[in-house]
Amino acid sequence: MKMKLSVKIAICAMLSACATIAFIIESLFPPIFLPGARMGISNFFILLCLIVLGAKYSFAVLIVKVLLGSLFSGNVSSLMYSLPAGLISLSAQTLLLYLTKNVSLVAVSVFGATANITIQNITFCIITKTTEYLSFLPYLSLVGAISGLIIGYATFLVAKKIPARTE
Amino acid sequence: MGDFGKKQLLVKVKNSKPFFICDLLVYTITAIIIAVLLVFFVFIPQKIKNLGFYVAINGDTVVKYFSSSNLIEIDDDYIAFVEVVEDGDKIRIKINQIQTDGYNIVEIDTVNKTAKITDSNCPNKDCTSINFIKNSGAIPCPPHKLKVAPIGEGQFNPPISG
Repeated sequence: MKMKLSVKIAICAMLSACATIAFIIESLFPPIFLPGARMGISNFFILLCLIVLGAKYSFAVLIVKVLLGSLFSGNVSSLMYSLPAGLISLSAQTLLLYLTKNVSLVAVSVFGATANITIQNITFCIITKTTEYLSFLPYLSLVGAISGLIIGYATFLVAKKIPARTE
Repeated sequence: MGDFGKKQLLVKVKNSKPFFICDLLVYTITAIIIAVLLVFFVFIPQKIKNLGFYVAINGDTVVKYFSSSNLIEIDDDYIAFVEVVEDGDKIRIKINQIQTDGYNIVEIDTVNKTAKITDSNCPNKDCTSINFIKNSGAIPCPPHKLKVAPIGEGQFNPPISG
């Protein structure tokens, strides 16, 4: 049975709220030995939205998360590098999921998380005109890959449990 | 694609496994990206000799430490706001902000030639969680607009001691 538009919007709003809250909570914790290193739990809700509702709604969740999360956490300047990185990595994940048949969700999440954190760091260095932070790039990419693995597997487990009637 | 695409995606994930053979290609590409970044931003800079460290506030260099001569140079505007304490092999430099009561304490290990921010009264103290730096990288403290970074080749002229 096709999902009603009102139900889709409600689910999208709920996932946006969860992603925003996760983003704000993560920003309260100190970085893990590296500037900007976070677990990326908010990406779990974006990936889940991509699977359940599709690309259009997942981009909406991403934009809401970055906009509101930056505002409420008091770090508005992070908009400049979080948003482009998020959009590019989500686009890559969407294309990988839709166009490939034999690539798992976990691998897509790993690639997306690595791309996200790499592009964020590079954009930050370009905007602030500092090249010193580029030396953190390999470590951040590794942290991104590991968090992508965990988040991807968690999303996979949750997607397995989603009842068939939501399709 | 519309609903048909979305329906297929959820069904595809529900019916799939967490690992496919083709995932190895994605993981290999990711590993290659990380390896290339490691070579260019970690292994190559490690061969660069450590000349010292500098602390900048709002882009202006405030304190410079030259490891060759073990000398510290403080900017004239910050002479009254910087306190230097030598404790064996470690040098602790407390940098107080001019316009606020903010401060950061930078610890330089003269033997291992590393630098780290060990204390600060910034809101989140994120700068104190960041690992030490040696030949590359930087430690930022965004609330205080402060940055600790290694001195690059030809970046500053070392002071003449004696």
